[in-house]
Amino acid sequence: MALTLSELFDPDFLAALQPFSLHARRVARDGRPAEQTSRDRGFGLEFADFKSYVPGDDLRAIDWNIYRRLGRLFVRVFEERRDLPVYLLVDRSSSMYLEEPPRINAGLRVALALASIALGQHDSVGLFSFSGVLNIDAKAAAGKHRLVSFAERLALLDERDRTDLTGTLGELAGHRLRRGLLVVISDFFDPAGADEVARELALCRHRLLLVQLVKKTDADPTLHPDLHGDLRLLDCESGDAVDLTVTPATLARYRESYREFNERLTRFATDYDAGFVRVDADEDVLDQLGGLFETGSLVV
Amino acid sequence: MSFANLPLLGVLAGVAGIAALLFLLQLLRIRHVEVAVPTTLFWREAAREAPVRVLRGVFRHPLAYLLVLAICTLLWLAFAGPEAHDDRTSAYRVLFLDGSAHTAGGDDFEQAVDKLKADLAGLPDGGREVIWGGARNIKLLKAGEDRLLLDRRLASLAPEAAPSALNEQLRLLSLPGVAPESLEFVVYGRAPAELAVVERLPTGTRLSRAIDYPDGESNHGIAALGVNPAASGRWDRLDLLIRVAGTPDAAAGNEMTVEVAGAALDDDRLERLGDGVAVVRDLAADGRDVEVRLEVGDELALDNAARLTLPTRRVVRVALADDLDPAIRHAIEADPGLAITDEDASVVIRAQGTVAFGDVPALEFAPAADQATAFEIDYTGSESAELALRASVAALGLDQIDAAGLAAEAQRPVGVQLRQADLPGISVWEELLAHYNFSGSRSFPLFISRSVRWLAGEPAWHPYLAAGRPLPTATVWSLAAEADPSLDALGADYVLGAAGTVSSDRGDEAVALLSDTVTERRPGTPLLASQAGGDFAGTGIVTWLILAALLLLGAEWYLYQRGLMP
Repeated sequence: MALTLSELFDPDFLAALQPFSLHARRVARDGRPAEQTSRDRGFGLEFADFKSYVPGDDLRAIDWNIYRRLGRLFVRVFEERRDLPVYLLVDRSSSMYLEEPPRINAGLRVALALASIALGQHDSVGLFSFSGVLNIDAKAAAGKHRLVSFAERLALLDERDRTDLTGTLGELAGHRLRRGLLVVISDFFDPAGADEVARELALCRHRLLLVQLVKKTDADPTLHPDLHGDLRLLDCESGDAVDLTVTPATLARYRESYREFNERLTRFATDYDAGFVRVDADEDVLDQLGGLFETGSLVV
Repeated sequence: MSFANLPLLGVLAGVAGIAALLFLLQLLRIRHVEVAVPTTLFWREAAREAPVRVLRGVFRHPLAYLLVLAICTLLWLAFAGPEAHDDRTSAYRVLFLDGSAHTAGGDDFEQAVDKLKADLAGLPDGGREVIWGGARNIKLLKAGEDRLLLDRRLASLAPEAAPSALNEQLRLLSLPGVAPESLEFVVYGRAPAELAVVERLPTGTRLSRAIDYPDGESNHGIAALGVNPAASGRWDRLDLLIRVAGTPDAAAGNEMTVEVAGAALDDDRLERLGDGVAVVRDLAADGRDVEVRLEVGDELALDNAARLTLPTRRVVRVALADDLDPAIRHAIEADPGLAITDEDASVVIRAQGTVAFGDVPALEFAPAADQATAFEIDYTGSESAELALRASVAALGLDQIDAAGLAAEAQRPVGVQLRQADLPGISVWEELLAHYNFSGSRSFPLFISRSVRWLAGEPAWHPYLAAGRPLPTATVWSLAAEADPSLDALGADYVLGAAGTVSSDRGDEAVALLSDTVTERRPGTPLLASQAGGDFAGTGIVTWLILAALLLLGAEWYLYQRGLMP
């Protein structure tokens, strides 16, 4: 059963996130003033460069020492600090709600944690959910005070049908969002396969952080109490049935297939310099985020 | 090879049926358990490795089929109960359950029954029988009868206070044509077998004991209890002899109580002669019961008490005619069991042709001219003259007479003639007394005394009655055991059953268990002990078949775990 607002909005959990911060190597122009390093030059505190004076420049920025030595007017330009748009893309397909505890619980906690960290450093956070279609649950906005309403929206997410991550990413690209960090929180069980998902992610113009929600039974089905003998496996999203007899040979083949799937996601993250974290839905989320924010700061 | 529980055709049909059933099962579509999973993405490829079996599909995994077939066939064969055809296992088996006093001590009997039931379970119904060996041997379970009947039949049986009749059963087997060609005779219990009997068993008969009992257990019991005419000479008195046997020391059983008709005798009446022998003198011969009890506590209680019915001895009243030879009176007066009277006489002695003292059994003396044979005897029984003659010759003491001497003196044969009559009577040549000095012979008083008692109808008496032994009789003159014609018209020994009571024309008499073999707990011939153990090869084959099936099951599990079997 998915978390309620009171279960999700846990003060202790949020307090434990205080040491963590999220930094982009460089954010896009035209953002709101904030704390992320940007390409904008202006009136910030960090000196960035000199440039020749043109009419209209602020006379207070003219470096008179250079003028005395060279006889030409130069003005000091400063680095503008902007915000990082963080887009949380949460999977709400049936597979996220199937088992106990469902993967969506861990997914909601991860989403809330990242939102809390981003809002805490004045970045804007937007919430999107997807299953077969993309939903815009909260447009990107900044402000710590938005955390409560953000949590409320997370808690309102309910189960939808199938996973279509590839279609969702294409749809998201059509929204022409300001470049930022796209956090995909999903089990990535897209029927199109890991290769298609990776191909679609590669087309994405945002920085990527992939959060894969797993359970122990994914890697070792023998831990599942019902997965033995002669089975008809029903896909909880599509309803497709697969009949098989669980034998050591079929288990070995399953494990091989699952390993290849994980390797494909990992390889994509490595190749495209995307962040990647695997979160076990049965374990404590905070401990696992500690691994992501290894030095206290996650640079994307 | 044969099968105890099924015919060969049934076994083969069963194997074929199992093979066909397993073949169908191998082809049968399985019924899946439905499980919902987050994705079947990875299982699809795995399913390609192990596609579902469908009926009429390709026959897969022939080796796995053969393995399962082998397991099921082994179990089926085990159920069929195969028996190897060697000399031992094909033999007909007689299981002899000893229900005698030998196996009555401690839990010997329960052990024997348990072992018998266990062995019986491994034997084919048609190849065995169970015999109950108590006071009499009874067939408890016939060949072919279901062994479940045994429990009900055993429910009313318990060890009897009698020696074992095992030897009689074995003697029967040694008779020509009785024992089958191959016979295994297993004794369940302590019943001993005599070495001589065992040695006479026919070739092909194997004798063994199912349980090897330990030797040398301590026990005491009454091994002898009998009466004798009193040494004091009093006619109506008897001396009672008691002998205690036991191991390791018979004297340990000296503490005993003697009761006559329920009243305990004073201990000073008991005269201990040593070696466990004691005597009670001058007991009244009045037909009461004597019971002797030992004050010992041992495992075998049946021999700690014994009962005996005292014989009744009465004085015979004899009337004598006046003109008789004085030697007759002297002989009567010399016998304390006889009394001369003129009234209420039981027997009269007179000259033939006179009617003195009325119509009572008479010993008469007749002139040789009137009587063809020297002794003419009228008997009242219904038996043949031949049997009556045989009994009367001893009863009258005629076998003690010097008939040849008398015949020589009389110059004519001295014979005996018997005829049936309403009243017993004896008629003797008077010349035997007057001229041929029969009255002066040593056998004359014996003849007079016995003749009077025979005419008076005084029954023979039993000095003792022991379970499992022939019925003894005794007269006043002799303790020699003789056949009792009242109980044994055919002339064979009448063997008493278990201790208790036996009824005859003399009324009820007590029978005691008087057996040294039982009391001393003798284990019997060592031949039996050395062949102890009643396991049968038929059971062994079943065990091996089941073990092989279990081994194959283990192999199947291993192969399944290693992914080498579907």
